[in-house]
Amino acid sequence: MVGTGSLVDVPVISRYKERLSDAELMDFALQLRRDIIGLTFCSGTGSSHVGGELSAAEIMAVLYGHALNLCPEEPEWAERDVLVLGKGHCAALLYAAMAWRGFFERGRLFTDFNVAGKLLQEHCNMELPGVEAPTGSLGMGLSNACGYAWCMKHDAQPNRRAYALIGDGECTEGQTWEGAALGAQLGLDNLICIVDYNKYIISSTTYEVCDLEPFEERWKAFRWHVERVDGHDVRALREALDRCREPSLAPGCPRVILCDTRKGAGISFMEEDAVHWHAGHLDEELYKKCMKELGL
Amino acid sequence: MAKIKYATAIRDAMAEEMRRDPRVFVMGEDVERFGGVFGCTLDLPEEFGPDRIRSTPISEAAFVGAGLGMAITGARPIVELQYVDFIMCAMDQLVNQTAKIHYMSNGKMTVPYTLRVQQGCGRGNGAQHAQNFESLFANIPGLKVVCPATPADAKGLLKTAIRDNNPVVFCEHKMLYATRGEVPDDPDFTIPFGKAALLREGKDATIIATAYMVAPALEAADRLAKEGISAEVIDPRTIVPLDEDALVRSVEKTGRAVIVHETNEFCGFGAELAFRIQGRAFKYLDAPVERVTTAQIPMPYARNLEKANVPDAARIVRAVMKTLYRDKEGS
Repeated sequence: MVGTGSLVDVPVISRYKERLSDAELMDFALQLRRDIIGLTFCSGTGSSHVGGELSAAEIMAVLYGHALNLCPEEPEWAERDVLVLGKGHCAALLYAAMAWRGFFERGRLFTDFNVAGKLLQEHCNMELPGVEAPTGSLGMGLSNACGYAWCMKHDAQPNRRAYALIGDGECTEGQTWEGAALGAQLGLDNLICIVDYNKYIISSTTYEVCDLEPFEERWKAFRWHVERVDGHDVRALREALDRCREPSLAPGCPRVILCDTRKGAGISFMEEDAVHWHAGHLDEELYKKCMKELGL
Repeated sequence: MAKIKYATAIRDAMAEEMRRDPRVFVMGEDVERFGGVFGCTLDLPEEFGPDRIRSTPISEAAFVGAGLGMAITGARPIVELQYVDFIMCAMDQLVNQTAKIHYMSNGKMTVPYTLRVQQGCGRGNGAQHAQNFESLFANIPGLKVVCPATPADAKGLLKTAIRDNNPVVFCEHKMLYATRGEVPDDPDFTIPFGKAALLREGKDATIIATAYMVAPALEAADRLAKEGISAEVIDPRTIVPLDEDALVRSVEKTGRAVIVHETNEFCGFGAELAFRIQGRAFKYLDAPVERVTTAQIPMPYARNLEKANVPDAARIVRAVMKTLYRDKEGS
């Protein structure tokens, strides 16, 4: 643990149960935010990719708290849904959700992240049971998820879904659009891509570096069914994911949910200066400031 | 002569060449803000503006290919890849296009193109962020491959690269950016390609090393001197073109050669050097040529394993001792 100060007392306000209510999903998202801040403070390297982790907290809460059909006791359970975290640098968010779901003991979040020889690496890796693909090389995740979805079709597993959570930065990689074309060509209506559209790429806004608009039209042109939601609205996310799971919605078309989010969401000084909070270090003062904003 | 950092020497080389030639441009991921990941473009946007220094999307194939387009229409692009590992997204543009266009156009097109890449281990960056590809690049006809070890070499060789009419892959080492050294102030200071640096004279064995491996090679020579063994240390500085004559001359004198590189052993450029040395200096060799390299494995993430995988002075000493048939005595 790099953080030299002490962790504040963080009450567990969300525990696993099937199908959380919207109010419970909001609690889960708040807990994920607190955990991300704690992980960042305790990180062995002194940092994590905190900005893009905070922007996707509600997305991850709804995925793990509502949508994903998983079995922590049997991580490779043949009937499970698959989530590929394309934005693999935001692994801390995934780890917090996995701990909530019971893939490993929660305390390890604050002892094992970015520490040599420990369980949780900065970019996620299949060494940790429950992680479905080693990601971090941007743009590769959607193609990997196409492969999972295609196999589910091939193996006649109509109840399974493949999800890819990708970043908007990844959408500037050509590989993402090759994956989009492939998914449509293969008719993967069991593939759901979720884009954390926080409008920032490390050092600038997407508008300055590579404007993705008209974003919806791009995906539609690739023959994807497109939903666009406020990525911090758990109800809108839940309803969009429910629609996208339905085969009758747009037969033969992969689905994408474009989530408008704020980088650093939930921490005011990060939101106001998002360009400096792609990755970041939290000293004890900043850590406590964050936790205060998160109600502690 | 000022004593400056390797990263600053790279920045100064680019700035001087941009002042000298309005056709020199810089682009790459995040080069406009914060000076890029390693600070090599710090303050350049203020002087040269967005028309000449430009951040790109995360789209390696696109911007490596755009560099080629710029080069064949008369510009002299410098393209920065954040980590060399990401070149794999753009290998078609580099290998099938950039390296071959001069030949496929029957010499009508020239490609004055510098591709700066940051590579190497030392920060626990793991299998996808700590690779070394100079052997891979050297295997592609049409590419020149440069591996500077010091701030002065970085500046002098980068200026030569920018002025060269051929594509040059300029392999910087991430652990060297913060190292300091004396660098000539002369804006026309350049170092020619294909000219090795003799870093230490010796008579008992030749150690050949580049980039981040130069420091342990020199340390090994120090340790060997305490054992009464006089090691010569040579840095080829450019893998392509290679100063073969300098290596052969040295081995003719010492009769023994140890090649050190951080790139993998199998098909690493050390194998090529060993072949050329034995081909031209066979009768002078008193022992087989030795190599000290990384193993044929992905670079481990764990710091202790990464350290174990990368050549250090002790391994180099042992290799020299082996060429002297004194390996049982090696430290």
